[in-house]
Amino acid sequence: MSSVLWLQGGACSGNTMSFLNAEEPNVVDLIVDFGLELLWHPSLGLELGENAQKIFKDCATGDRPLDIFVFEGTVIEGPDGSGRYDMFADRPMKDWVIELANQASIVVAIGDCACWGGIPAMEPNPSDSTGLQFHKRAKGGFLGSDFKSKSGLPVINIPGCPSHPDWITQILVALATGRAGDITLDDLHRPETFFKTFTQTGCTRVQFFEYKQSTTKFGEGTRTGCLFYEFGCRGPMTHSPCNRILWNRQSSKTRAGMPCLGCTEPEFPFFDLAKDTVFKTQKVSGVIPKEVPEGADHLTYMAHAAAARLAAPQWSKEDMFVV
Amino acid sequence: MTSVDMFVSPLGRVEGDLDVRVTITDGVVTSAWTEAAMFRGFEIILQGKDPQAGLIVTPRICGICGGSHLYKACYALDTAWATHVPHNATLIRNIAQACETLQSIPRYFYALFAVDLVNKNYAKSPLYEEAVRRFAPYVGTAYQKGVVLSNKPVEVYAIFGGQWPHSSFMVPGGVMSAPSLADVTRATAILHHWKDNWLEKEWLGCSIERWMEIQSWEDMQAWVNENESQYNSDCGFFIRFCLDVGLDAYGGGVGNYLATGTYFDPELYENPTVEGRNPALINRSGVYADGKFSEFDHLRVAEDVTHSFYEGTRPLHPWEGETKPIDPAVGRGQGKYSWAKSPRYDVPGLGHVPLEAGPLARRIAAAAPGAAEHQDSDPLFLDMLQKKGPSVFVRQMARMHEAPKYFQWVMDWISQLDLQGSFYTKPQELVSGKGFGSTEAARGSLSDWIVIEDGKIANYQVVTPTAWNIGPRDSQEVLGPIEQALVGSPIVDQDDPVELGHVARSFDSCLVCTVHAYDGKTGRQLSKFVVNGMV
Amino acid sequence: MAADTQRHTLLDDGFPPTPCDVLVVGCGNILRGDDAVGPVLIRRLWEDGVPADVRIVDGGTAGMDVAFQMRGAQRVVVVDASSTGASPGTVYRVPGEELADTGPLDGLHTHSFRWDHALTFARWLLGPDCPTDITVFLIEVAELTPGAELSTEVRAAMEQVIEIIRNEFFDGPGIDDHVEVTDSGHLRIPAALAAARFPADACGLGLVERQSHPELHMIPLQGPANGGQLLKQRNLAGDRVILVRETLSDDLPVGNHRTRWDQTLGVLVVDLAPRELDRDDRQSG
Repeated sequence: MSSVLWLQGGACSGNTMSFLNAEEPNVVDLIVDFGLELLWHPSLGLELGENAQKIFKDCATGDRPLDIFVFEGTVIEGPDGSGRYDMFADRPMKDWVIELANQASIVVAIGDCACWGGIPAMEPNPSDSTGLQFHKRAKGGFLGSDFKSKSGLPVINIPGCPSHPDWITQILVALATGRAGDITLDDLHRPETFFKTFTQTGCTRVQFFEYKQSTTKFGEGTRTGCLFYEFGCRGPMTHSPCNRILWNRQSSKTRAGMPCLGCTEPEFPFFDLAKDTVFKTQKVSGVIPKEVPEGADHLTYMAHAAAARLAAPQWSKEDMFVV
Repeated sequence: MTSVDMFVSPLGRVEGDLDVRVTITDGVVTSAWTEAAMFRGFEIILQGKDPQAGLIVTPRICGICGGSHLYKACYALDTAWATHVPHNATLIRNIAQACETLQSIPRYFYALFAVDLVNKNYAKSPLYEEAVRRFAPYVGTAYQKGVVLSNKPVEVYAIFGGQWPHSSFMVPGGVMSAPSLADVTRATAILHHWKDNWLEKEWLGCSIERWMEIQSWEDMQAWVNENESQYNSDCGFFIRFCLDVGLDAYGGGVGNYLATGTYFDPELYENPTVEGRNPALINRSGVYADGKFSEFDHLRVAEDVTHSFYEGTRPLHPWEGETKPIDPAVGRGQGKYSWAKSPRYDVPGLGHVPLEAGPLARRIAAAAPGAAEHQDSDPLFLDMLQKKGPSVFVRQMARMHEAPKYFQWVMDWISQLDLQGSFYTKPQELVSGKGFGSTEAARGSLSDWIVIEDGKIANYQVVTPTAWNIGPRDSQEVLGPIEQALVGSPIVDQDDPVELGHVARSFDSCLVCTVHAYDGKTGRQLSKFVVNGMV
Repeated sequence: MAADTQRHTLLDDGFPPTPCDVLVVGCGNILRGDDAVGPVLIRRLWEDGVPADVRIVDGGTAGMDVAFQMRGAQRVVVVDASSTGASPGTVYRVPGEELADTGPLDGLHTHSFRWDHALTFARWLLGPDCPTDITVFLIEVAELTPGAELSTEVRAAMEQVIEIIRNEFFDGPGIDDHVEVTDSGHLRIPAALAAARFPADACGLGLVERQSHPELHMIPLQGPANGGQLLKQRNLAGDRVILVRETLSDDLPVGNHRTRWDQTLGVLVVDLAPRELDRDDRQSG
């Protein structure tokens, strides 16, 4: 039985809702079969009021052993470092976070907000939000770059806005069955199992990408073409398994014609959603995408582009995802 | 006379914390104060950003109704940019929005609300053991089926939108996707699976068509007793249990309702405008106050910050709205006690009165006379309101009634899709404009007001249903809807005030509500409990 | 010694060796009459089917390759022909302890690579990774005429050895090698089968049409970083699951399906013939 305490800071509950979509195992299986002892969760927790508060206090003081501390949402430090913009059980939530993080064996940040600060941390960051151990790409965040939980691990980051239910359940399963050592983390503390490949890996539009054939408009226009060239798709630059492990067992953004927003990377939302950046590829000289796929460089890219367009077969100019 | 102050914290979380302080006199709640305890400042964040930023940011206000946020944010832009929205796109938007609500209904009911029905305070009821068997968290038979199958409708959302939660696939001018025949057949199969395995089998115990024949409270009672299957379905059991333990006797609220409506007739809202919104709605908008219906007019909405942690002295229409937060420690000294702004509506002839938003509100709006052919006209809940009065029970039945109703609508919209047709018309991205978009999220009216200047967002205000329901006392010191609903609730056991949980949760608020109980005379804290927020 | 450890380090390519419970190797020259008994025995095991945790190797003329195959095996069974002068069909069983000293490495010849050379070489090559549980069966030949079939005595002895191997080394019915297709489009794989065939929890999927029904080929990948499908853990027992509906079709034959390991392709083959649970069919090549 692994005890899990799940709290929310500056959160929207999107990760919780995603988590509830889990299947094989589903949330009921996790609790009943895997023996996850869910001490408390804002929506699923059973204890109320005094009983709930006792659980938090006992875990915070160490009187009650806590195996996994899960945090969803940002740590809110405003106003002026007091944390009073987010009160929970009569204290700033950030005070609970410090104590629980230092008592738990393992600390897991679920969702972009807890990992890097997410949307609330966008300019001008009115609540002084930050992630548990990162602020955007900079190591540190709320707990500091040196923080290690009692098991010796840093905060494990499961990013995404939201995270996919399988990313959450598979990691919780690994932690609950004592296989924390099997989880390899990348330099952003994300499990490599999920975050080594790209959103583009497995995207159904990849052949259009190959031949530089762009989608030209939304709606029926997405029956052909790749979204990278015009619509700001960040698929080639974003580490996620979204096109290998489908969403809701059905699809993914890019398959449905929606450009990848790069939500598993610390800079999301990119460009702080400044004017003319939403669903629009940022280009140099109006032609060359400013960001080319990870690992490529602009010169090579240009050469490829010219060659690819010349070589593009007829089918790549027609609708592929037909009625 | 024993007077006890209860302050229950935290009460349920989505967007933050809500604290409720309740005074109990002789076992009955006599006064209530609500407090929202978390601030992120989305309206500040959106200022100066790309006009389409709201499509990405507002769903993150609440991940439970993220799709509803997207829907109304999109319509706000459609009206600001005077776009053309092809019929197919309107249909897909309707389908997606409804599927989010179809997921929310069982997930909320079993994981959030019904778990309280197994409270030991009900052990004396002859139906208690059955309630435990069905509704016990995680192990209840009905709990498992309801919660696990609730993910089916959002699989349909993902077919059209790529994923749920948090896809931004609705854009001004239409939608980003263009489904194939396989998408449509799969969506249909998934919805049938959900209906066959939960909606008709477990919840109703009868066909959707049979349930929709119910037009009055008498019809509903007769339905329960009509046969074994209906008597013993989760719905039939729930009705009997509520009546047995008295959930129909309290939690009424203000008795005044607001619905901004949702789902558009594709033909009538091809060129969305603010003025043309009401007549194009399928799920009608409307206000019901002091026993009279009136048309919803967004210009009559204002936000009051007298008791909220923001600068400002008078109620402002959202197009003029401001969001300037202050330190809560400072605010308390000024008599402010909540992060929620207090939305108020100027009812013709009545002035600013608090209005309840939610499924009951829209079921009442659906009973107003003068429905056009394409609009929902449903007398059931006006009948229940008049014969039984509002209560926790009536509010919950209104919510559950929408499952079969919306299911029928979704199947109809899917059948209307013209796969060969258009799904998007590229709009002109005007550099200035004002827009209003609104929808009925599962828990009530949700609205955006946007002002675009110089190609950027100059002002963005979002009013959530929970803001309508929990907004703090305004400058006239009138109680908000949840506060009013808590007053009059009989508390059997002060150490375990489950009745407060029922009332607060029946509003399905987006915020965690905390209720603290204090003894009024001695100030001794009696109990504190969390009424969990929306699942 | 530095050179000694370096040899083992060279074998470590960062990927774990594919584990198996039992490795059966048949040595011998298939063209030389009774010398074919080793490879013929392997062929027979392959045709009749072996449990999923068993790997079989035709070490006929593969020589040194046999040693590489031993990597990751818990127990090893080697079958070879012998020519000691005993009566034809005599079966010798040489248990592991006796094999400690199998002779010098010098003079290894790829065209004359017998069981003792295989073991010596394996010990040198694999060092600490060499399996310790090794049993050798030797069958005395009747004659070694090029092109001749197996003699009656040797064939009978072969059947005997097959019987012994099945009874002693293959644990009863073996690990459950059935996979289940659910009506939600998921493929469930029992824990032991997944651990044996997909130690890195990742696989690729391919659908192959056969005359009457398709086969699903599951290709073990060396790690989730190589793309492919992730085998999710679905319960405490460690059973795995992947969503296959998207790769195959919406009309998958629901239920339990036999699997077999295809040695040549290196894939787990799932027979998607619509079938009842517990039909006792044998897979044939």
